[in-house]
Amino acid sequence: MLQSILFYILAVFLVGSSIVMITRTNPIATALWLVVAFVALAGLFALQGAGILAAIQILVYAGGILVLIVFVIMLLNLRKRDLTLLSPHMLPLTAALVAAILFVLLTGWVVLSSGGSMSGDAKVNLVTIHTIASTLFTEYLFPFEILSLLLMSAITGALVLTRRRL
Amino acid sequence: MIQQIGTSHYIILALVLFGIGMVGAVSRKNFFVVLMSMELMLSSANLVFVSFAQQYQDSSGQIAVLFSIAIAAAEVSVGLAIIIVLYRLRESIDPGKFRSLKG
Repeated sequence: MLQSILFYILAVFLVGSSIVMITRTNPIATALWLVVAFVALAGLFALQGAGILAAIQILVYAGGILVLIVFVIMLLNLRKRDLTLLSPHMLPLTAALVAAILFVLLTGWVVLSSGGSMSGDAKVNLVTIHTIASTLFTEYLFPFEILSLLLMSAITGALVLTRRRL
Repeated sequence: MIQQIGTSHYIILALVLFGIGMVGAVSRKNFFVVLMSMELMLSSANLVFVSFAQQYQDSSGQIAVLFSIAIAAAEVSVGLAIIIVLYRLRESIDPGKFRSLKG
């Protein structure tokens, strides 16, 4: 029961802050609303027993990525005329997208009401950091090493791209 | 009456989140908002991973989310570098100003 109430509170926060996020003109406001959305998402992770992922979500997304984005927004020193909301010819396309989303939602509702096979059991068991680590450093060791290579190349790529003379 | 929360609830929430992110990524005239909407779409995929990991009691789904977050960090750093270069080229962050990229 408590789980259901928490789910609905977090879902309302998540969807509400996302809608507010994509309708802001100022990119700084967008970034701050995205932080709210990511905190709600971390709450949903924790609700499903993934406490370590909730912590990483807040640390990496809200603490790292969003700080980087806000930093670059301030670095560019945007003028007032750069900040427009919608391009006029995009409006029909947006309406079509919303219609498509509603279609998907209705399909999802049909799936939800047609049978209880998709709903898991009520018991949520916590996945500990020990389980994550023992899987990550045995079964997924090679992808983990590849990932460090990817991060290295991303850093190098970003540095090379932003040099004054290429 | 409040139903028991299952995997399908999380999937529908992730669909809504993906849709909002998609509208933001397609319709906005601001590179930053496009980038952040893409992050939102990526996070909705993470939510689906976590809910299926919970349903099947398998921690591999959570490892996938771990990888996905790390790749998102790499993607954002390169994306921001590209935005800086584009702003230096045209003094604009409007994707409509870069129609020549269509070829």
